[in-house]
Amino acid sequence: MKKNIYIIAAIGLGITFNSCNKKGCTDPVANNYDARAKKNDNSCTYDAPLPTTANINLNLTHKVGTENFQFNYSYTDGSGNEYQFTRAQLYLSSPVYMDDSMNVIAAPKEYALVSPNTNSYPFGTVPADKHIHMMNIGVGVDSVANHSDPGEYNTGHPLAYQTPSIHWNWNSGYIFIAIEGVVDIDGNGTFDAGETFLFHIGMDALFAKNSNLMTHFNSVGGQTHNLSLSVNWGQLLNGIDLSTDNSTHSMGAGFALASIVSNNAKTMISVQ
Amino acid sequence: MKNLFLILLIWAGVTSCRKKENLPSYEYKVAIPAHFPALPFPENNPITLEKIKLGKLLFEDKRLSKNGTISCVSCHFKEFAMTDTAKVSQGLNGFTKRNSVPLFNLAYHPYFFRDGGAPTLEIQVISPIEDHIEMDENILIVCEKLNNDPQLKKLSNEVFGTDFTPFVVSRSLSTFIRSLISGSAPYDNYLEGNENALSAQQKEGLALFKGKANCISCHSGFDFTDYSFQNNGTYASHSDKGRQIITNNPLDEGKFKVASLRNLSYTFPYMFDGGFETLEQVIEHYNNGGAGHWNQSDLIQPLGLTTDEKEALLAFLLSLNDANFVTK
Repeated sequence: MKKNIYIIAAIGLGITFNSCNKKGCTDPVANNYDARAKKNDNSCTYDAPLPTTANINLNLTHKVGTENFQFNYSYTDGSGNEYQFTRAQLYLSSPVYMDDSMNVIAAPKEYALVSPNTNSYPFGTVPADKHIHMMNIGVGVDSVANHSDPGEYNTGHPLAYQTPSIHWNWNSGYIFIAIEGVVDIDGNGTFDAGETFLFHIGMDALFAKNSNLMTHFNSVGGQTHNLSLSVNWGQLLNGIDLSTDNSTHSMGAGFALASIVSNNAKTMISVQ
Repeated sequence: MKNLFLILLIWAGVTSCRKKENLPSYEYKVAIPAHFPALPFPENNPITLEKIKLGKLLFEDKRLSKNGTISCVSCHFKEFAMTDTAKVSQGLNGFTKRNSVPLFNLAYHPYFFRDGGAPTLEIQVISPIEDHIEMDENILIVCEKLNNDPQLKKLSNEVFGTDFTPFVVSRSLSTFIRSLISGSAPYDNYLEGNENALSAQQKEGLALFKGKANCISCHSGFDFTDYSFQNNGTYASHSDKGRQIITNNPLDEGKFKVASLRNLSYTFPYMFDGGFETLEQVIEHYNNGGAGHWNQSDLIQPLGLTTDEKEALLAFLLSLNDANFVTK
């Protein structure tokens, strides 16, 4: 009898000690919270945190005036010269997003090396739960990145070395806009040898900001928002007579012509 | 005793393994003269012996050019203090616009090219490769070609832990060029205390250099350049706008980075376009007060040097020749 009492007492003590030391998840906000647990055993599980940013994707439509962009397809400039594009590339960068009160919504710097061969470009993120009323977007590269070393960027990054090259080494900067092609200078209906145009626009002063693009969307964490923009490559040649003004590398005497192209670039992007 | 021996053996093994692992990344001390500043290098591109060796291999590799016919060495010869003797150099698609720059003591330069267009050696070294007149090859294609060479690719992996990329090429070439130091001319010997390293005529020339001829106003410091941009009035007019190409500032027209005066016997012809064949012509140019370009520096004034003084000045300039640099 006495022996049984000892056994029961021992079991009772064991239960008591056990309940005092019960291990489990002690965090009330965890999915597996155990109200009886006295000691946290690191077993708590939680729902995945809500994303704090929304992804931005540029969905671009490439145009020349009202026509769709095509390489090796004849267009006509404002002076009646027939021309065709053989190369078209430009940098889109430095997005600035604004809410209804025109407050700037902080977003990371982004860069996209754009060509008419591709319509879709990932373009970073914006904070979640914001109304994005409008945005500005740059054609070119901001002055800090413009003087960075392309060798520092990993392959695949828009600012890494490219083929064909989109970086000047002689003046350490990126070519913001590279358009090249042929132009029927003498108007004889054919693109004769030497009848070409080449516009390589760069240098800090020629960064072109497209302002006040009405975007109107609410950013949702974790979602990807497609911004449908139109890129009018023909706009770059607005007011330029390709029979006489057909080449610039932006430097020296070519700066004036490059400035015209850069100024045109400020209105080449529109919301679709 | 046996245990002690075993411990020593293990310790030696660990030590030798560590040495081998660390070999490619230890910092290499380039020998520089005592009167030179410490050798600067970018934080992300320390100088290692392996990088210098790989850079030298690339410097001599003709695969850097589009058709595989020229390398960096084609315009930068050791015997000419790492330049050539042409007024302007022959590239794949014609002639360069300017005289080839000698490659020594560039580690100390704050910018590169005669117009200062490249801010770092790492960026500069890619330029001749991609320049359509010079080597006319895209850097990514260069990397492809180099990676097709198993031995060279292995070397890239040993030094950088990766196949050839623009980063590997630019860091290797720039490190090799950064290691090219010239500072053992007779004048350097004189500075280090050997009074007899300069002749009496050369010492007279040194006094003129600092005084009447006023060369030192631009050609100052251990490398005889203050790295400023100056229009020295080489011609009354010329089409090369110089620094203005970079800044777009008309007041920079015709300005070029002040050249070092070391190794002049090897680096002829002179001036931005190689327009002056001899040092006598150069001295005469300055003695006449320049050719009178509208943007010519006010520092260029008629000097009134006598024949003896011009000869003394020339003798001093020749004391800046570093025979070791061009032969060893």
